[in-house]
This record gives sequence, C-alpha cells and structure tokens, in this order.
Amino acid sequence: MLVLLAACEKDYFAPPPVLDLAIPISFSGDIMPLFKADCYGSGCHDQGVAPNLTTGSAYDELTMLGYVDTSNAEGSKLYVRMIATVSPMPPKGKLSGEETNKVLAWIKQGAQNN
Amino acid sequence: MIKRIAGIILLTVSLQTAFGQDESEESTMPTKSLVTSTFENSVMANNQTTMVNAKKELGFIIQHRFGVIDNQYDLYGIYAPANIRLGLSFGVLKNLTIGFGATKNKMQYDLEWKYKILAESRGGGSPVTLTYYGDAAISGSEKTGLKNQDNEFKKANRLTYYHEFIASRKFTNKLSFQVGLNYSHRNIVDSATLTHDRMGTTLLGRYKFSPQSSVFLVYNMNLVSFDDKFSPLTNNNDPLKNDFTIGYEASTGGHQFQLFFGAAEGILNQEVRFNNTNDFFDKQIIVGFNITRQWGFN
Repeated sequence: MLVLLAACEKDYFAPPPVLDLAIPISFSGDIMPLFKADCYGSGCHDQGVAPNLTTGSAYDELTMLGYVDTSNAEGSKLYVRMIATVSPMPPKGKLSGEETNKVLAWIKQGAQNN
Repeated sequence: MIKRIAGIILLTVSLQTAFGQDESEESTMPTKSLVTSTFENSVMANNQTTMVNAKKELGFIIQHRFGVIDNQYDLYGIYAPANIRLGLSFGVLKNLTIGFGATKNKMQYDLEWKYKILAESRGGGSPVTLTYYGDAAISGSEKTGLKNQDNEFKKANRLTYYHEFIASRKFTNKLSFQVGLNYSHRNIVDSATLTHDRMGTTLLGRYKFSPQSSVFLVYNMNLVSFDDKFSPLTNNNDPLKNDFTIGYEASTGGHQFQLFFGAAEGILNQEVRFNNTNDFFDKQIIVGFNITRQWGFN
C-alpha cells in the first residue's frame, strides 16, 4: 500500500544541457571510457553484438557501419539510441545529459579518431 | 377380493411412479460445477490471464525477450541485448496471489497482486471468470538519467503502475478467450509521448489442439491517452505502437513453456503499454519465451 500511495507525478525527462562545441572531445579520452563503463562487458557490445564498442573495434564499427552521420549528428543512430527513454541504451537506464552531449559533440566535431 | 388386490397393485405402482418421478427430476437438475483450466497458467506472453495460484501454491517464472529480428549479424536478434524478468508468486489465499519480480531493462523491481473476483461455472453461477490484477514497479536506474524538466531528481519518478480487470470464458475444452481493460501510469515520460496515463484493452485467445499443446494470439490496443488534466488526448502523433503476439505453449502438469513472436521488448505490462515502439505488422518482431513452474505446499 505504501508503494501505491508513494506519489503520483506528471513529470517529463529533462532535455539535454546546452551543447558547447568549443570544448574539444577526444574519442580515446572522452568517448571510449564511456563505452567501457556502460556498453561492453556482460555479453553486450563486444564481439558478436553490433556495434562492437571494445577498444580497437569501436571507431571502425561506428563509422563504417553507419552508426554516426557527421552531416546529421542529431540523427546519428548512435546518438538517437542513447537518448531514447522509451527503450533506453544502455538497457539499465538512459545516461546523463552530459554524457550523451559528449557523444553528440564528438560527432558534430567530425567524429575523429582522436 | 379382486378389487382389493387391484387397488393394492395400483397403489403400489403409483407410489413407485411418484418416487421415480422425484428421482428423475432430481437427476435432471443441473449441478453447478466450477470451470477449471481456462488457461494453463497465469501469464501468456506479456499478459496476465484470469488464472491465479491455488492456495499455498508457489509459482516461478522466467521471461526472456531477444532483440528485434532485423539483421543476420546478431543472428536475427538472438545475440542482441536481451531483456529478462525473473518472478515468484504465491497463493496466500484461495483467490489471492501476491508476487514480485526483477527485470533487467531499467533495472525494475515489481510487486504484483491478483484477485479472482468471480469464477466461471456451469449449471448456474457466473458465465465468466473475472479477475483483478495490479502491479507497481520501481526502477533502479541512475539518478542522472531520471532528472525531470526542472533538472531535479524525485524518488517518485522511479515508479510506474498498472491495473487491469480481466474477464475470460472457456467456450470448449479447446477454446478459451479473454478480454481485459487496463490502465497504466508513469510518473515521468518523454515529452514526445505527452501523456502519463493510458487506458487500453487486451484481447487474448487460446486454442488447445492437443492435451499438452496450444496456440495463442494476443492483441494489446491502446484506447485512450490522457493529458495532465486527465482529458483524452487528440494527438495523432503517438510514437507508441500496439503489441501483437502469436505463440505456442507446451504444458505438462506443473510446468509450462511458451515460445512466441511479439513486438514489445518490455516485459512488465506497463512497459508494454507505454514503451513499445516496435510495429509487429511492419516486421519489427522479437522472439520471446516464458518458462513457468508451480509447486504446491498443501
């Protein structure tokens, strides 16, 4: 009964924070740690599950299999999947706006292998 | 003398006839009997049936959903990230079942309750089985992903709720059908969906073609979405899709196995009604299975 009476809210998920493209984003320094923490391991995005986001494979799989589109960063499959709230990726729950903004900024800055 | 004997004979015959009529009238009186095994267990794919656990019966369920069948790289969804729920349920009273479970996606933990209000019977009584089902789930996701439009985190935004009234009828030993009316509420949603409350219906039919095997069809259809003032929404850009499932069930005593093709990757009823964007009829299909087992402790 406590659960039933806990609360009835009518909130909406927060929009991502304002993106600052002046801050350079590094693939190896900013994006790969994010993948390592939340994306591979436990049978997720490693060998056998596209895209393979492990070190040495992530950049090629993302850029060559169509997961990033530098001409339409907001429409990139990688970014769209990561900001989805209906069926989030990672499945445990959507990442923070700051983290998804790093991915968007990296794509907008040319999706370099830096 | 002859008249006396004839009178005795007539009286004897009439008495026998009278008692015989009473016995035959009694034998034609319909006997009320409860209908059993409308379905083999309380869950069919992502949906509840009208069945509840027997008193002191423990039920265990494994529910597994693979990825969308859209490319061969991940073996048509088999290697894709999967969703899974493990659940236990117990018949605390004859018609009352309490259960809890854990779901991988969004790390949800749910408490469920189910009460059979009416039992279908023959020879009198209710023509249908009527059951109420409720569920409340809490998400264990990181707070950073649950912040609201004011950039603040509320514990209540981890919660979702589901309620359903279900009516079923066993038309023959082979054919059962049920219809449900449900209500779902989510405390926090994506702004694109514009609604926190949805009301829908579930249609479920099962045909048992052999003593241990059956096929089933389920269709979950949203009837109305409500805005924040609980008025029906007229938005036609609803990104959410209805869930359709077709499947097969094998049942052996206290164990059932269901294999099915559906659309929803979520498992909890409120997830299926609120977070499904896959369209079964646009070939966005997933494979799923349920395994259930019951133990009696009477």
